[in-house]
Amino acid sequence: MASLTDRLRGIVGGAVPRLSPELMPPGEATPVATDTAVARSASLREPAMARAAEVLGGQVVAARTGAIITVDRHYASSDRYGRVTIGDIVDTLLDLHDARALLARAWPPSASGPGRAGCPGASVVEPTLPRDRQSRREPDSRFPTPDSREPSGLWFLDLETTGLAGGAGTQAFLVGCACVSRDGVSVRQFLLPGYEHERALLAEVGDWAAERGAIVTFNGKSFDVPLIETRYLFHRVPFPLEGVPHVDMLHPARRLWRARGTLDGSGEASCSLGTLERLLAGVHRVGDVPGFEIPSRYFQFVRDGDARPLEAVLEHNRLDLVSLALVMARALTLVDRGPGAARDAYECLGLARLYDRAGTLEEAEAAYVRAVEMLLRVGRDPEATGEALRRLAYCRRRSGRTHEAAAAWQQLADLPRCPAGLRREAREALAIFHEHRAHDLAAARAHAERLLVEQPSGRRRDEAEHRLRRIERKMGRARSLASLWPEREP
Amino acid sequence: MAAQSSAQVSALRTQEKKEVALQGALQVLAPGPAADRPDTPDGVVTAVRRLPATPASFAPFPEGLDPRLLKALAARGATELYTHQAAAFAHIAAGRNIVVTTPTASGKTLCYNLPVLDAVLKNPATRALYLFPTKALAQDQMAELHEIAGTISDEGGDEIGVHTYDGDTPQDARRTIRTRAHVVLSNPDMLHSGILPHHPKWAKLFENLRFVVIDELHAYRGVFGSHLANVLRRLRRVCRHYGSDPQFICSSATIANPAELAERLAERPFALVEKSGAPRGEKFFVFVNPPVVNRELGIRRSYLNESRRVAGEFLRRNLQVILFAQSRLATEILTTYLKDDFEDVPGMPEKIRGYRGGYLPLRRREIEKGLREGQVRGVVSTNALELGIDIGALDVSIMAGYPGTIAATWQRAGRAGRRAARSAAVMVASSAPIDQFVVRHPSYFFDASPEHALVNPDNLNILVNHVKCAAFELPFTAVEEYGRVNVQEVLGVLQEAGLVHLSGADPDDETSGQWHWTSESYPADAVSLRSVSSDNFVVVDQTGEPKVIAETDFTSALSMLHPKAIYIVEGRLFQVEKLDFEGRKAYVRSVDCDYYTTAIDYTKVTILDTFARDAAAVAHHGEVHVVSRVVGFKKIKFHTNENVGSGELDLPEHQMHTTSYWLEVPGPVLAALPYAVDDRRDGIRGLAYAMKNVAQLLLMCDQRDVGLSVNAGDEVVAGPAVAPGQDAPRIFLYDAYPGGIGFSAPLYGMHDELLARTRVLIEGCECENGCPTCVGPVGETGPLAKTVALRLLQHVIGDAGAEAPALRAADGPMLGGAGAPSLESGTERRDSTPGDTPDDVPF
Repeated sequence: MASLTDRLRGIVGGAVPRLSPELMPPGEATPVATDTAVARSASLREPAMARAAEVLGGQVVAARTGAIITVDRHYASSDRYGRVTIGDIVDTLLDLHDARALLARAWPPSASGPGRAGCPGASVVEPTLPRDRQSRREPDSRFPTPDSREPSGLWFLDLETTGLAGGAGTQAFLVGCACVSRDGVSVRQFLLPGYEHERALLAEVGDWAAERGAIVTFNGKSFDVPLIETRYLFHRVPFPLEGVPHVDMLHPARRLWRARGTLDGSGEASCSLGTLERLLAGVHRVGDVPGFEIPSRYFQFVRDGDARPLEAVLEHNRLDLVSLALVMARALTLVDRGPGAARDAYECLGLARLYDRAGTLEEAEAAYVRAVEMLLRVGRDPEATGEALRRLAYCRRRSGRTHEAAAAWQQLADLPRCPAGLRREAREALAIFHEHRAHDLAAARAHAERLLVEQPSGRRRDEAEHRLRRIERKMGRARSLASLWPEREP
Repeated sequence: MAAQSSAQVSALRTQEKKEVALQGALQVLAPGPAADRPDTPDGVVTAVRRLPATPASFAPFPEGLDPRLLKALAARGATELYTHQAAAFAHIAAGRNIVVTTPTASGKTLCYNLPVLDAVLKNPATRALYLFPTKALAQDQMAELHEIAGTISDEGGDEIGVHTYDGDTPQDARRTIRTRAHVVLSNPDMLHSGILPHHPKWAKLFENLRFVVIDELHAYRGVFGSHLANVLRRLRRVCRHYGSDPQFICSSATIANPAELAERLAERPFALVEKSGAPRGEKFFVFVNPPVVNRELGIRRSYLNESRRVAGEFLRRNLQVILFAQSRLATEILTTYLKDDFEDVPGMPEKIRGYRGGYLPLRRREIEKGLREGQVRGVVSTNALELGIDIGALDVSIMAGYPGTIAATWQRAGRAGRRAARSAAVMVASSAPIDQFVVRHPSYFFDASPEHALVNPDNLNILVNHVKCAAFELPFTAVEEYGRVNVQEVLGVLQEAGLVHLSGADPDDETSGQWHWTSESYPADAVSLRSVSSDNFVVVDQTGEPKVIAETDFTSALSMLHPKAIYIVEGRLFQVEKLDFEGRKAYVRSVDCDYYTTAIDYTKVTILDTFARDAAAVAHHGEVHVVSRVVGFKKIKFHTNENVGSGELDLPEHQMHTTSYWLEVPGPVLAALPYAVDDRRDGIRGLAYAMKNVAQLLLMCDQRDVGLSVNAGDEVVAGPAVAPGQDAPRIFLYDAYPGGIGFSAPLYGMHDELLARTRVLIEGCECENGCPTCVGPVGETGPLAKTVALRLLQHVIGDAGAEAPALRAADGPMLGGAGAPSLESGTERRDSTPGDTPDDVPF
């Protein structure tokens, strides 16, 4: 009868996943310990931890609950970052308070609770609702907006984790934090040298983050913050970021630059930090570690104590933090200077939508108008043009200027190669406008009839037919009152 | 007031009418006195038993019950408790775990709702987790709990949060549920993959968890139960982390070992509450054996046709009927038949519905509602409706074929009958050996204990998967124990595969350190509690706009959805045009044809390791490798059951390692038989057929739990000088789950009894050359199968075994002993269709 271990091997199968040799940094690869006895001694001890800290250019911080490695880097104002300087970035972040407030109004920085929307991977386990329900705006009055707090308080957070799935078994092994001053961007990274030190890491991060103001992340509302909160909950330690305002730059960035991502030639509508830094500042990373490889590099470090494969991971994390600052700075600049600063029609449209969301309708309208002009000049994208006109019309209606709104609808209805759905919407809006506002029943009927020609379906068709009947009834009444003699219209 | 009394009067009148109709139908089916007739094993109706009505026995509400709860119960008309509810409450108050086994509709749910609501009212921090085997049952329960909770808050009590948490729970409701719900109703699968792995988010629940309620405990046997036991081990680990130690409250249908099962699942001591204080209406239980239609060949009328006739008698009198079939295929066939009989106008509301695993949830909810509201007059179902899904109380329960276990039979019979009203249950036997035994020995069923439910939580395949999940949830310490295996050794092997890592260990201290999960994967996703593989196949109808019409689990897919298979959904026929095995999809198109298909499979077993053998080297127990493959299919004509064609298939094979009992026929024994090679082989096959059926009765297990494979030793029989043990003919009875689930070891222990009873079965059968009741139908096993099988047994047993005791049937001859030989007209496909499972627990 086979031994228990042999039977278990048959069931478990597989061997330790190893990094391919070419991914290893220069120098001979250290053999990986597979035997339990060897592995026991391979746990990172004091000297090994000091060596790792040295390799990574950091230091060991010993605390009561364990030890961690911290790595500090400073990016000086005079340093270049692609086409811009670090100084440009920090000055923008520190100066444009009004723009920050506007951004905050567009996406209220509700502080994160336990896994608000769940981690991305959690959708595998917990089927998610349609997107719109998750991204619904939920202004939360309990938490002050950033402008009501210390104005320059702002720090950036980015985690590297042992997986994307979320849940109790996914850990943040690297917590990257950055803060800005006139001198530049200062990054502090907290590295977990072994799982048993997690409490110490969480405590250090909590101390560092205290009183620093609002958190800025990229997709942090659904990933980084719920994940690190889970770690605190796991250790049953209060979450130090509870109630701290949180600006997730993913959403503004999507508004402003997703469309441009597609025009970038990359083919897909990517809105990753890598795409954005290339787009906004011409930054090209060299030898960047691909995201999917990051967990296995950490697992290898945990197994053999060799920190060299982690160097690239830490560098990746630092660049992400600087790029996050860049993205925010660029967004604030746009918001501050208005549509004139937009480099193309899409950025302008995105800016208009951002203003729209923040409720600054005047700025929004101006930006929509400018976006429509720019789009019409190029004339290549009826979808975007139609979308801009539609939003312009709604924006004007919300400011109570229905006649100007109707002008936008009319422009949309007349737009060459206008998408059918948008054209139907325009006709419907025009029919309503002429029936109820302009009291021009003939025009209302014309729009209603043309809407039916466009073959709407379902509820929209029923409504259109109903509307047409009602308009004709009204017209009949008006005529019978006027002349008792129906006359045929052209 | 007047309106109410007139409603009462009309209800009474309906009741009277129903009773008259029921009596009428019973008179047609079983003429003669309605009650307490002597059994007539040779007749068509072999038994009519009257189960008398039982009055209620009450107990006062326990002292100290929260006054708000008392008030709410009083507002709902409850002024006292049934005795079993009071007993349950007393045990819980004393801190014991309990398992309640009272019949359907006995107010079982109050047994757990009472202590839970009382505790929540007294301390609002209290939390309870309810587990149901299906989402539908959780929904049913929530409706009931919501009513009580609503009454409590109406009466000025506090709000009690009651929520279901499953795959359908909206994302934005989840956070609230995690922190606010006092009672969370979920299922083991969700606990396994959605709650435990995210326990930090559930900290509030786990810190305050006082009760874990497990309803329908009997559903957790075999593989599913073994998984649940491991999920509960993980639950207890997480509770320890948060400092809680919940009490378990379980409810179960009648099985032989409810407390033992609960103890195996929860690994805690349990007290049993089994004496019901609830009233019960009178019930008639009728056993029907389809009549012999061809006396010379001993062919019986098809049990499906007979079930159709029986159901017709009740449906015609406008009684509401549930008809249980043994397989998904039989369900569809019977649905087709009854629709033919009772649905005349297309487009009218459907009076007859089918119901089985694989139907989409929306369709199921619609059928359940139709049953409760009475538009649906008859439902044909697999065991999917055996559990307590709320379909109201029907008038009659009919079983087409013996459900395989005593417990399942009572459970199905219980779907008919209200507390005060008269109801009926009818079992129509097929010609399978077990059916024939039970139908001719009614006291085996009526007077014997029901089956044991077995689980094997330490099955290595299952356990290893859950150790992974557990390590993901909380690191294992270097001294932690888990189950009955050495978990440290398991973790060592997981470390070799890079899945865990021992960190913080002092090299000089073996007890230091913790095993941490070191993989990006989310291990719970890779483990399905319900079947071997978590994959399922969807069935896409391409007749019009492509749409998904059903789904099926991985194991059934190959036999139900192979190319050219006829796939039936509620009587509508579809032909499979393409099976996309990689994409897990089957494309079907609606067809109009007069046949259905059954798959033919081929199984080969190889011995890997022998754990034990008896002195004569006949009986063995060990580890085997099983390869099975669907190799072809037959086309069977509806109604006549003629075989009208066949086809070959080339499909991927299914492999597993499992444990097995096997019987090896010694070379000299075989050589001594004065028969031709083919006849010897037939004899071995016939013996195997009989042994499998006896094994099933001895183990009291489901026919799916044990697989049969025969290696007839074709190469060996020709040469008598072959060394013993080398490719000798063998009969394998193996655990039909990777790693084994605990049936083969007891079988090895019962080897002598198994052979003795098999011998009595074959000897006692009055057929001449074999029939489905002993060694299998002549057409399939050959003319000398019976004779050779008996000679084989004589050699293997010697003469000592001839006096084997009868199988619990104190009043009659042995299994298959008396009665006419019965060969049915070819309907018995259920055992030959490997993947056509009697059904899953619907999910």
